[in-house]
Amino acid sequence: MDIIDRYLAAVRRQLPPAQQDDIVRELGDSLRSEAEEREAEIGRPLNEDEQAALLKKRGHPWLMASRYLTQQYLIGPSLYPYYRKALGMVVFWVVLPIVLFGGAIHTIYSDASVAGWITRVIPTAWNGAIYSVGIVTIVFAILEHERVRLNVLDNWNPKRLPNADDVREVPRSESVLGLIFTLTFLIFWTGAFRVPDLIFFNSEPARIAGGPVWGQLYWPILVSLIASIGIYLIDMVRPWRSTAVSMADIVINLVNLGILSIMLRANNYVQVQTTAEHLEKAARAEYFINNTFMVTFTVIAIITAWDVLYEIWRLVKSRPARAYAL
Amino acid sequence: MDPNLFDTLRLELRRGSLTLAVLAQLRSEHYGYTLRKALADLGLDIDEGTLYPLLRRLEAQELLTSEWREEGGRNKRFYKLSPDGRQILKQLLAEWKRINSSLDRIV
Repeated sequence: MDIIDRYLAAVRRQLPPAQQDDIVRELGDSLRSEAEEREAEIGRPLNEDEQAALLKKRGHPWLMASRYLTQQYLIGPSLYPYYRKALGMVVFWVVLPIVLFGGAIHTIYSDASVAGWITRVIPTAWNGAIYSVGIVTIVFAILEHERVRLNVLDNWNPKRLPNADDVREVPRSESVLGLIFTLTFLIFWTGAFRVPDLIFFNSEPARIAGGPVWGQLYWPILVSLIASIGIYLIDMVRPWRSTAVSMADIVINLVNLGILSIMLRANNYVQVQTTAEHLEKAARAEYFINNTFMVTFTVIAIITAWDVLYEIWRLVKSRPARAYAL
Repeated sequence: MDPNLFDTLRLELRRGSLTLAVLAQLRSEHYGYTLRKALADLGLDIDEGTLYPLLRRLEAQELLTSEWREEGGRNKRFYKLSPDGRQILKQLLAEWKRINSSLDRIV
């Protein structure tokens, strides 16, 4: 097998099976025709270096094969700016909180050394980053695929664009971020992702178990998450909310407020389980985490109540009769 | 200035012109190698990695037809313009002349 055959075999391996024979046969004929022409000029067969030079001009076999393939995007140019923005937000809202909150718990209750940070906190943040980037990429890849199928950006009517000051518009960045967070939480909630160990007593991980309130609220939270994902998807495709979508959003947020009020009445969100010798430390860690949850739920409840009021204001303020559509 | 800027812009400028040149050259039948040589002899170098995928695309768009035939002891794929290709070529040439004449006035 000469060097040209090896080149053709390398190109063949990168091509779709249905096209391999056809493309390689034609490319092979072209390469051999040029080689024969050169041989006729110099009056002898081309040596291996000369054949290599002829092939080098064609480019690497992968590059040659790639030119025959249709261009495919995981995330195309129209969504890419949003994808980059979402990645930036993920770093800020996922990785930074893990480093700050996880780091605080770890430093206060288990190990304040630099080595502890390097071996516990940073890998946890890194895993969180990889996990979040994966989720963002999958969400955008699905959006790219569905956008092509639904043809959303082609079938639009300029006459139906809303006024610049229309209060019903939901920024796409808000929908994307909301979708990513809700999906991430859904995956965590359904048990597909386990919270990594954050607290160690003498290098022994302490188990953080959820309190009974989580089990009681499992289904309401799951239904609320799925409904929220539906709203975010609708907002992304049609950023100008119809009355029905606004009403649905208000209902979901009222349900969330109900869930939060039950959560706030409970006070035992986690139990830090460890061996008898570390019980005191575990109790202090548990107190800190439970209080953090309490503060977090209070903040979320205030934001949710604000969202309900804002949505009602939007409904009242916006022009009622016209249905905008992309 | 980006050192590759000229190459990028040149590539963009050439892209449409190559399609026109290939269609025009295939008013008479050629196989890949002779087509590439004919274009090169007329001053338009085009490498295999560009030409063959372009030929496939034009054939998929039904602007070209092709058939495998033996010549010189080897099977070769011969291409020529289809009736649709002739029609499109006529329109593209008219458009190209219009652009060319505008550019002549502009530059």
